Amino acid sequence: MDAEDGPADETLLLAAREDAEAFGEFYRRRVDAVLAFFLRRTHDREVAADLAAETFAAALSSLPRYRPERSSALAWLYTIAHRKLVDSIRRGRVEDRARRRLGLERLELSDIDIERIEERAAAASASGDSALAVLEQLSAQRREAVAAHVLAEEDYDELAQRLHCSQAVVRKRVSRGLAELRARMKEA
Amino acid sequence: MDAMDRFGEALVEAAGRRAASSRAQAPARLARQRVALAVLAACALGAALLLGARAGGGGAVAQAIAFRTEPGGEIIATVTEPFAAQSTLDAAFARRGLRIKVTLLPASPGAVGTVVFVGESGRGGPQIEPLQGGRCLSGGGGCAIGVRIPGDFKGEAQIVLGRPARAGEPYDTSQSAFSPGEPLHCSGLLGARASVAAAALARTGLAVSWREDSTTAGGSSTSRTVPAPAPGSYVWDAGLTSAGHLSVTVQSSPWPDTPGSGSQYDDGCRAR
Repeated sequence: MDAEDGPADETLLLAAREDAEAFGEFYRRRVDAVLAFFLRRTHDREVAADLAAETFAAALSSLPRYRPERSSALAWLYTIAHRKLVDSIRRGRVEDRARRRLGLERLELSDIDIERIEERAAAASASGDSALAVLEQLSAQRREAVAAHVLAEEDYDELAQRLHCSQAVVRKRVSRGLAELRARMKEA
Repeated sequence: MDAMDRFGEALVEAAGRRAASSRAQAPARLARQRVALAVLAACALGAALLLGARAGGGGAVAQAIAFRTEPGGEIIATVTEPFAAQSTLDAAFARRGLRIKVTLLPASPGAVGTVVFVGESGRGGPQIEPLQGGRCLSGGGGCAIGVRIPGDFKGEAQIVLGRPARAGEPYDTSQSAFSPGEPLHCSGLLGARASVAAAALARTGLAVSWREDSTTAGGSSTSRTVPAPAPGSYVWDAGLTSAGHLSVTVQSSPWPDTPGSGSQYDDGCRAR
Protein backbone atom coordinates (compact mmCIF):
# COMPACT_ATOMS: atom_id res chain seq x y z
CA MET A 1 0.00 0.00 0.00
CA ASP A 2 1.32 3.42 -0.91
CA ALA A 3 1.57 5.86 1.98
CA GLU A 4 0.89 8.69 -0.46
CA ASP A 5 -2.70 7.49 -0.77
CA GLY A 6 -5.09 8.15 2.08
CA PRO A 7 -4.58 9.78 5.44
CA ALA A 8 -1.19 10.44 7.04
CA ASP A 9 0.26 7.80 9.34
CA GLU A 10 -0.15 10.19 12.28
CA THR A 11 -3.86 10.57 11.51
CA LEU A 12 -4.25 6.80 11.37
CA LEU A 13 -2.55 6.32 14.73
CA LEU A 14 -4.74 8.92 16.39
CA ALA A 15 -7.86 7.40 14.83
CA ALA A 16 -6.73 3.90 15.84
CA ARG A 17 -7.42 4.65 19.51
CA GLU A 18 -11.11 4.34 18.67
CA ASP A 19 -11.09 2.72 15.25
CA ALA A 20 -9.41 -0.70 14.99
CA GLU A 21 -9.45 -0.64 11.20
CA ALA A 22 -7.26 2.50 11.21
CA PHE A 23 -4.54 0.52 12.98
CA GLY A 24 -5.04 -2.23 10.42
CA GLU A 25 -4.39 0.24 7.64
CA PHE A 26 -1.26 1.54 9.39
CA TYR A 27 -0.06 -2.06 9.77
CA ARG A 28 -0.70 -2.95 6.12
CA ARG A 29 1.04 0.24 5.01
CA ARG A 30 4.20 -0.26 7.07
CA VAL A 31 4.62 -3.96 7.83
CA ASP A 32 6.70 -4.75 4.75
CA ALA A 33 9.17 -1.93 5.47
CA VAL A 34 9.51 -3.15 9.06
CA LEU A 35 10.06 -6.71 7.82
CA ALA A 36 12.75 -5.41 5.46
CA PHE A 37 14.39 -3.51 8.31
CA PHE A 38 14.58 -6.61 10.52
CA LEU A 39 15.60 -8.92 7.70
CA ARG A 40 18.54 -6.68 6.82
CA ARG A 41 19.68 -6.68 10.45
CA THR A 42 19.08 -10.35 11.35
CA HIS A 43 19.36 -12.16 7.99
CA ASP A 44 16.77 -14.58 9.37
CA ARG A 45 13.27 -14.55 7.88
CA GLU A 46 11.53 -16.18 10.84
CA VAL A 47 13.21 -13.91 13.37
CA ALA A 48 12.40 -10.89 11.21
CA ALA A 49 8.73 -11.85 11.08
CA ASP A 50 8.64 -12.50 14.83
CA LEU A 51 10.25 -9.12 15.57
CA ALA A 52 7.90 -7.31 13.19
CA ALA A 53 4.87 -8.89 14.86
CA GLU A 54 6.13 -8.00 18.33
CA THR A 55 6.88 -4.44 17.18
CA PHE A 56 3.33 -3.84 15.93
CA ALA A 57 1.83 -5.45 19.04
CA ALA A 58 3.95 -3.11 21.20
CA ALA A 59 2.90 -0.18 19.01
CA LEU A 60 -0.77 -1.05 19.53
CA SER A 61 -0.27 -1.27 23.30
CA SER A 62 1.56 2.09 23.29
CA LEU A 63 -1.01 3.92 21.15
CA PRO A 64 -2.42 6.02 24.03
CA ARG A 65 1.08 7.41 24.62
CA TYR A 66 1.73 8.34 20.98
CA ARG A 67 2.01 12.12 20.57
CA PRO A 68 2.15 13.30 16.94
CA GLU A 69 3.45 16.68 18.07
CA ARG A 70 6.53 14.94 19.50
CA SER A 71 7.46 12.63 16.65
CA SER A 72 6.32 11.39 13.29
CA ALA A 73 4.56 8.03 13.19
CA LEU A 74 7.47 6.47 11.32
CA ALA A 75 10.05 7.71 13.81
CA TRP A 76 7.89 6.40 16.66
CA LEU A 77 7.47 3.00 14.99
CA TYR A 78 11.17 2.87 14.15
CA THR A 79 12.10 3.61 17.77
CA ILE A 80 9.95 0.69 18.96
CA ALA A 81 11.40 -1.57 16.24
CA HIS A 82 14.92 -0.65 17.21
CA ARG A 83 14.28 -1.35 20.89
CA LYS A 84 12.84 -4.77 20.03
CA LEU A 85 15.91 -5.56 17.98
CA VAL A 86 18.30 -4.51 20.74
CA ASP A 87 16.28 -6.48 23.32
CA SER A 88 16.34 -9.59 21.17
CA ILE A 89 20.11 -9.37 20.73
CA ARG A 90 20.59 -8.83 24.45
CA ARG A 91 18.31 -11.75 25.45
CA GLY A 92 19.24 -14.06 22.61
CA ARG A 93 15.56 -14.54 21.69
CA VAL A 94 12.52 -12.57 20.52
CA GLU A 95 10.16 -11.65 23.34
CA ASP A 96 6.40 -12.17 22.91
CA ARG A 97 5.32 -10.08 25.90
CA ALA A 98 3.44 -7.45 23.87
CA ARG A 99 1.58 -10.14 21.93
CA ARG A 100 0.66 -12.09 25.09
CA ARG A 101 -0.67 -8.90 26.65
CA LEU A 102 -3.02 -8.54 23.69
CA GLY A 103 -3.95 -12.22 23.67
CA LEU A 104 -2.20 -12.82 20.36
CA GLU A 105 -0.57 -16.10 19.39
CA ARG A 106 3.03 -16.43 18.23
CA LEU A 107 3.41 -16.67 14.47
CA GLU A 108 3.20 -20.12 12.89
CA LEU A 109 5.11 -19.90 9.64
CA SER A 110 4.81 -22.40 6.80
CA ASP A 111 7.52 -22.73 4.15
CA ILE A 112 5.39 -20.60 1.84
CA ASP A 113 5.04 -17.92 4.54
CA ILE A 114 8.81 -17.82 4.96
CA GLU A 115 9.26 -17.37 1.21
CA ARG A 116 6.71 -14.55 1.24
CA ILE A 117 8.59 -12.69 3.96
CA GLU A 118 11.57 -12.31 1.70
CA GLU A 119 9.37 -11.18 -1.19
CA ARG A 120 7.57 -8.62 0.95
CA ALA A 121 10.82 -7.25 2.33
CA ALA A 122 12.33 -7.02 -1.14
CA ALA A 123 9.29 -5.13 -2.41
CA ALA A 124 9.53 -2.66 0.47
CA SER A 125 13.25 -2.13 -0.11
CA ALA A 126 12.64 -1.52 -3.80
CA SER A 127 10.04 1.14 -2.99
CA GLY A 128 12.68 2.88 -0.85
CA ASP A 129 11.19 3.91 2.46
CA SER A 130 13.99 6.39 3.06
CA ALA A 131 12.81 7.54 6.47
CA LEU A 132 13.66 4.12 7.84
CA ALA A 133 16.54 3.39 5.51
CA VAL A 134 18.74 6.40 6.07
CA LEU A 135 19.33 5.77 9.76
CA GLU A 136 20.22 2.16 9.20
CA GLN A 137 23.59 3.21 7.95
CA LEU A 138 24.66 4.25 11.44
CA SER A 139 26.06 2.00 14.14
CA ALA A 140 23.49 0.66 16.61
CA GLN A 141 24.48 3.05 19.41
CA ARG A 142 24.48 6.14 17.23
CA ARG A 143 21.28 5.12 15.47
CA GLU A 144 19.40 4.69 18.73
CA ALA A 145 20.68 7.98 20.10
CA VAL A 146 19.84 9.94 16.94
CA ALA A 147 16.43 8.31 16.50
CA ALA A 148 15.47 8.90 20.11
CA HIS A 149 16.76 12.46 20.48
CA VAL A 150 16.28 13.92 17.01
CA LEU A 151 13.23 12.07 15.73
CA ALA A 152 11.37 11.07 18.88
CA GLU A 153 12.50 14.24 20.74
CA GLU A 154 13.52 12.37 23.88
CA ASP A 155 15.63 14.77 25.93
CA TYR A 156 19.22 13.99 26.88
CA ASP A 157 18.39 13.39 30.52
CA GLU A 158 15.68 10.80 29.77
CA LEU A 159 17.86 9.15 27.17
CA ALA A 160 20.89 8.89 29.44
CA GLN A 161 18.77 7.22 32.13
CA ARG A 162 17.24 4.77 29.68
CA LEU A 163 20.58 3.85 28.13
CA HIS A 164 22.37 3.72 31.50
CA CYS A 165 25.11 6.13 30.52
CA SER A 166 26.03 9.74 31.12
CA GLN A 167 24.49 12.71 29.30
CA ALA A 168 27.92 13.47 27.87
CA VAL A 169 28.09 10.04 26.25
CA VAL A 170 24.61 10.39 24.77
CA ARG A 171 25.42 13.87 23.45
CA LYS A 172 28.54 12.50 21.84
CA ARG A 173 26.61 9.66 20.17
CA VAL A 174 24.02 12.09 18.81
CA SER A 175 26.62 14.54 17.64
CA ARG A 176 28.78 11.91 15.95
CA GLY A 177 25.74 10.17 14.48
CA LEU A 178 24.54 13.41 12.94
CA ALA A 179 28.01 14.18 11.63
CA GLU A 180 28.11 10.74 10.01
CA LEU A 181 24.67 11.24 8.46
CA ARG A 182 25.80 14.59 7.13
CA ALA A 183 28.91 13.03 5.61
CA ARG A 184 26.84 10.29 3.97
CA MET A 185 24.43 12.83 2.52
CA LYS A 186 27.40 14.66 1.08
CA GLU A 187 28.67 11.45 -0.56
CA ALA A 188 25.26 10.69 -2.05
CA MET B 1 -3.15 -14.54 2.50
CA ASP B 2 0.12 -15.28 4.33
CA ALA B 3 1.10 -15.37 8.01
CA MET B 4 1.77 -11.62 8.21
CA ASP B 5 -1.66 -10.88 6.72
CA ARG B 6 -3.26 -13.24 9.23
CA PHE B 7 -1.34 -11.57 12.05
CA GLY B 8 -2.58 -8.20 10.77
CA GLU B 9 -6.18 -9.42 11.05
CA ALA B 10 -5.58 -10.70 14.58
CA LEU B 11 -4.03 -7.34 15.42
CA VAL B 12 -7.12 -5.49 14.16
CA GLU B 13 -9.31 -7.71 16.33
CA ALA B 14 -7.09 -6.94 19.33
CA ALA B 15 -7.28 -3.23 18.50
CA GLY B 16 -11.09 -3.54 18.44
CA ARG B 17 -11.11 -5.19 21.88
CA ARG B 18 -8.90 -2.42 23.27
CA ALA B 19 -11.07 0.33 21.79
CA ALA B 20 -14.22 -1.31 23.20
CA SER B 21 -12.62 -1.65 26.63
CA SER B 22 -11.50 1.97 26.46
CA ARG B 23 -15.05 3.11 25.64
CA ALA B 24 -16.46 1.07 28.55
CA GLN B 25 -14.13 2.88 30.96
CA ALA B 26 -14.85 6.26 29.40
CA PRO B 27 -17.40 7.69 31.92
CA ALA B 28 -15.06 7.41 34.90
CA ARG B 29 -12.17 8.68 32.83
CA LEU B 30 -14.23 11.59 31.53
CA ALA B 31 -14.50 13.16 34.96
CA ARG B 32 -10.73 12.93 35.41
CA GLN B 33 -10.17 14.29 31.90
CA ARG B 34 -12.40 17.29 32.59
CA VAL B 35 -10.21 18.26 35.51
CA ALA B 36 -7.06 17.67 33.46
CA LEU B 37 -8.44 19.66 30.52
CA ALA B 38 -9.28 22.57 32.77
CA VAL B 39 -5.70 22.58 34.06
CA LEU B 40 -4.32 22.24 30.51
CA ALA B 41 -6.52 25.06 29.25
CA ALA B 42 -5.25 27.31 32.02
CA CYS B 43 -1.65 26.37 31.20
CA ALA B 44 -2.21 26.88 27.47
CA LEU B 45 -3.71 30.29 28.08
CA GLY B 46 -0.75 31.20 30.25
CA ALA B 47 1.70 29.97 27.62
CA ALA B 48 -0.10 31.87 24.87
CA LEU B 49 0.00 35.05 26.91
CA LEU B 50 3.69 34.52 27.62
CA LEU B 51 4.51 33.88 23.95
CA GLY B 52 2.43 36.84 22.90
CA ALA B 53 4.31 39.02 25.36
CA ARG B 54 7.69 37.76 24.09
CA ALA B 55 6.65 38.37 20.52
CA GLY B 56 5.55 41.86 21.35
CA GLY B 57 1.95 40.76 21.00
CA GLY B 58 2.23 41.07 17.25
CA GLY B 59 1.91 37.39 16.43
CA ALA B 60 5.57 37.05 15.33
CA VAL B 61 5.77 33.50 16.67
CA ALA B 62 2.66 32.51 14.73
CA GLN B 63 4.58 33.50 11.56
CA ALA B 64 7.47 31.16 12.34
CA ILE B 65 7.62 30.03 8.72
CA ALA B 66 7.20 32.19 5.64
CA PHE B 67 5.83 30.38 2.59
CA ARG B 68 6.30 31.58 -0.96
CA THR B 69 5.25 29.87 -4.19
CA GLU B 70 7.64 30.14 -7.13
CA PRO B 71 6.34 30.65 -10.68
CA GLY B 72 7.04 26.96 -11.41
CA GLY B 73 4.87 25.92 -8.46
CA GLU B 74 7.68 25.10 -5.99
CA ILE B 75 7.00 26.10 -2.41
CA ILE B 76 9.75 27.91 -0.54
CA ALA B 77 9.39 27.58 3.23
CA THR B 78 11.74 29.82 5.20
CA VAL B 79 12.04 29.61 8.97
CA THR B 80 11.73 33.17 10.24
CA GLU B 81 11.68 32.30 13.95
CA PRO B 82 14.39 29.72 14.66
CA PHE B 83 13.39 29.42 18.33
CA ALA B 84 9.72 28.74 17.63
CA ALA B 85 8.10 25.84 19.45
CA GLN B 86 7.87 22.58 17.53
CA SER B 87 4.08 22.75 17.64
CA THR B 88 4.18 26.17 15.95
CA LEU B 89 6.35 24.87 13.13
CA ASP B 90 4.14 21.79 12.70
CA ALA B 91 1.01 23.90 12.65
CA ALA B 92 2.47 26.17 9.96
CA PHE B 93 3.03 23.24 7.59
CA ALA B 94 -0.30 21.64 8.47
CA ARG B 95 -2.10 24.88 7.58
CA ARG B 96 -0.54 24.61 4.11
CA GLY B 97 -1.77 21.01 3.85
CA LEU B 98 1.80 19.68 3.96
CA ARG B 99 2.69 16.57 5.95
CA ILE B 100 6.17 17.84 6.70
CA LYS B 101 7.82 18.02 10.09
CA VAL B 102 10.74 20.41 10.35
CA THR B 103 12.83 20.12 13.51
CA LEU B 104 15.51 22.65 14.41
CA LEU B 105 18.59 21.69 16.40
CA PRO B 106 21.17 24.02 17.96
CA ALA B 107 24.17 23.96 15.64
CA SER B 108 27.64 25.41 15.32
CA PRO B 109 27.90 28.54 13.13
CA GLY B 110 28.88 26.67 9.97
CA ALA B 111 26.00 24.23 10.36
CA VAL B 112 23.22 26.82 10.81
CA GLY B 113 20.69 26.40 8.01
CA THR B 114 22.27 23.18 6.80
CA VAL B 115 20.44 19.90 6.57
CA VAL B 116 21.16 17.51 9.42
CA PHE B 117 18.72 14.80 8.44
CA VAL B 118 16.11 14.19 5.77
CA GLY B 119 13.63 11.35 5.86
CA GLU B 120 10.93 11.05 3.23
CA SER B 121 8.38 8.32 2.77
CA GLY B 122 7.26 7.16 -0.62
CA ARG B 123 8.99 6.18 -3.81
CA GLY B 124 11.92 7.77 -5.58
CA GLY B 125 14.76 9.89 -4.29
CA PRO B 126 14.59 12.89 -1.98
CA GLN B 127 12.29 15.59 -3.29
CA ILE B 128 12.70 18.21 -0.58
CA GLU B 129 15.91 20.22 -0.63
CA PRO B 130 17.50 22.86 1.56
CA LEU B 131 17.01 26.39 0.31
CA GLN B 132 20.46 26.56 -1.18
CA GLY B 133 22.37 23.54 -2.47
CA GLY B 134 26.08 22.96 -1.92
CA ARG B 135 27.15 24.48 1.36
CA CYS B 136 23.71 24.27 2.86
CA LEU B 137 23.89 20.52 2.49
CA SER B 138 27.54 20.09 3.28
CA GLY B 139 28.32 22.99 5.59
CA GLY B 140 29.61 26.49 5.36
CA GLY B 141 26.83 28.36 7.08
CA GLY B 142 25.28 31.63 6.06
CA CYS B 143 22.29 29.76 4.74
CA ALA B 144 18.70 30.76 5.16
CA ILE B 145 16.96 28.13 7.27
CA GLY B 146 14.33 26.52 5.14
CA VAL B 147 13.38 24.07 2.46
CA ARG B 148 12.30 23.93 -1.18
CA ILE B 149 9.27 21.69 -1.70
CA PRO B 150 7.97 20.49 -5.08
CA GLY B 151 4.51 21.93 -5.76
CA ASP B 152 3.07 18.45 -6.25
CA PHE B 153 4.64 16.95 -3.11
CA LYS B 154 2.08 14.66 -1.48
CA GLY B 155 4.24 12.45 0.72
CA GLU B 156 5.43 12.80 4.29
CA ALA B 157 8.79 14.07 5.35
CA GLN B 158 10.81 14.82 8.42
CA ILE B 159 13.65 17.29 8.01
CA VAL B 160 16.12 18.37 10.65
CA LEU B 161 17.95 21.66 10.12
CA GLY B 162 20.60 23.46 12.14
CA ARG B 163 19.58 26.66 13.95
CA PRO B 164 21.65 29.15 15.96
CA ALA B 165 22.12 28.17 19.60
CA ARG B 166 20.83 30.21 22.50
CA ALA B 167 23.45 31.74 24.80
CA GLY B 168 25.31 28.89 26.52
CA GLU B 169 23.26 26.19 24.78
CA PRO B 170 25.36 23.14 23.77
CA TYR B 171 25.33 22.30 20.06
CA ASP B 172 23.53 19.13 19.03
CA THR B 173 25.43 19.11 15.79
CA SER B 174 28.54 20.83 14.56
CA GLN B 175 30.69 21.00 11.48
CA SER B 176 34.38 20.36 11.64
CA ALA B 177 36.02 23.45 13.17
CA PHE B 178 38.16 23.57 10.01
CA SER B 179 35.24 23.92 7.61
CA PRO B 180 33.98 27.23 6.20
CA GLY B 181 32.16 29.34 8.78
CA GLU B 182 33.91 27.68 11.74
CA PRO B 183 36.67 29.17 13.93
CA LEU B 184 39.65 27.16 12.64
CA HIS B 185 38.83 27.53 8.95
CA CYS B 186 42.05 28.38 7.07
CA SER B 187 44.01 28.20 10.36
CA GLY B 188 46.41 25.56 9.01
CA LEU B 189 46.10 23.60 12.25
CA LEU B 190 44.56 20.46 10.73
CA GLY B 191 47.34 17.88 10.84
CA ALA B 192 49.62 20.16 12.87
CA ARG B 193 51.60 18.87 15.83
CA ALA B 194 49.38 19.12 18.90
CA SER B 195 51.97 21.22 20.73
CA VAL B 196 51.91 23.79 17.92
CA ALA B 197 48.11 23.74 17.86
CA ALA B 198 47.88 24.13 21.64
CA ALA B 199 50.04 27.27 21.51
CA ALA B 200 48.00 28.73 18.65
CA LEU B 201 44.69 27.89 20.29
CA ALA B 202 45.75 29.53 23.55
CA ARG B 203 45.71 32.83 21.65
CA THR B 204 42.17 32.37 20.29
CA GLY B 205 40.31 32.71 23.58
CA LEU B 206 38.55 29.39 22.99
CA ALA B 207 38.20 26.96 25.90
CA VAL B 208 39.88 23.83 24.56
CA SER B 209 39.35 20.21 25.62
CA TRP B 210 41.39 17.37 24.17
CA ARG B 211 40.39 13.89 23.02
CA GLU B 212 42.81 11.17 22.05
CA ASP B 213 41.79 8.55 19.48
CA SER B 214 43.81 5.38 19.34
CA THR B 215 43.58 1.91 17.87
CA THR B 216 44.20 -1.17 19.99
CA ALA B 217 46.26 -4.16 18.87
CA GLY B 218 42.97 -5.96 18.18
CA GLY B 219 42.00 -3.26 15.70
CA SER B 220 39.21 -1.61 17.72
CA SER B 221 39.35 2.14 18.15
CA THR B 222 38.98 4.01 21.41
CA SER B 223 38.48 7.66 22.20
CA ARG B 224 39.08 9.24 25.60
CA THR B 225 39.29 12.68 27.09
CA VAL B 226 42.82 13.67 28.10
CA PRO B 227 43.93 16.73 30.09
CA ALA B 228 46.55 17.60 27.48
CA PRO B 229 47.67 16.08 24.18
CA ALA B 230 50.49 13.54 24.36
CA PRO B 231 53.86 14.86 23.15
CA GLY B 232 54.37 14.10 19.49
CA SER B 233 50.65 13.70 18.71
CA TYR B 234 48.89 15.37 15.77
CA VAL B 235 45.58 17.18 15.30
CA TRP B 236 43.08 15.04 13.38
CA ASP B 237 39.80 16.81 14.01
CA ALA B 238 38.13 19.55 16.03
CA GLY B 239 34.64 20.85 16.57
CA LEU B 240 32.81 23.39 18.69
CA THR B 241 30.65 21.82 21.38
CA SER B 242 29.08 25.17 22.28
CA ALA B 243 29.99 28.80 21.61
CA GLY B 244 33.59 29.32 22.70
CA HIS B 245 34.20 25.66 23.61
CA LEU B 246 36.32 23.58 21.26
CA SER B 247 36.99 19.84 21.39
CA VAL B 248 40.19 18.84 19.57
CA THR B 249 40.90 15.22 18.62
CA VAL B 250 44.51 14.08 18.37
CA GLN B 251 46.21 10.86 17.32
CA SER B 252 49.76 9.62 17.67
CA SER B 253 50.09 9.05 13.92
CA PRO B 254 50.60 11.99 11.54
CA TRP B 255 47.71 13.34 9.49
CA PRO B 256 47.84 11.53 6.11
CA ASP B 257 50.23 13.39 3.83
CA THR B 258 48.38 12.51 0.66
CA PRO B 259 47.23 14.99 -1.99
CA GLY B 260 43.77 16.27 -1.23
CA SER B 261 43.73 15.42 2.48
CA GLY B 262 41.58 18.01 4.21
CA SER B 263 40.98 19.83 0.90
CA GLN B 264 37.25 19.83 1.56
CA TYR B 265 37.95 22.58 4.10
CA ASP B 266 40.10 24.74 1.81
CA ASP B 267 37.25 26.59 0.14
CA GLY B 268 37.98 30.32 0.34
CA CYS B 269 41.37 30.00 2.07
CA ARG B 270 43.52 31.05 -0.88
CA ALA B 271 41.75 34.39 -1.15
CA ARG B 272 42.70 35.29 2.42
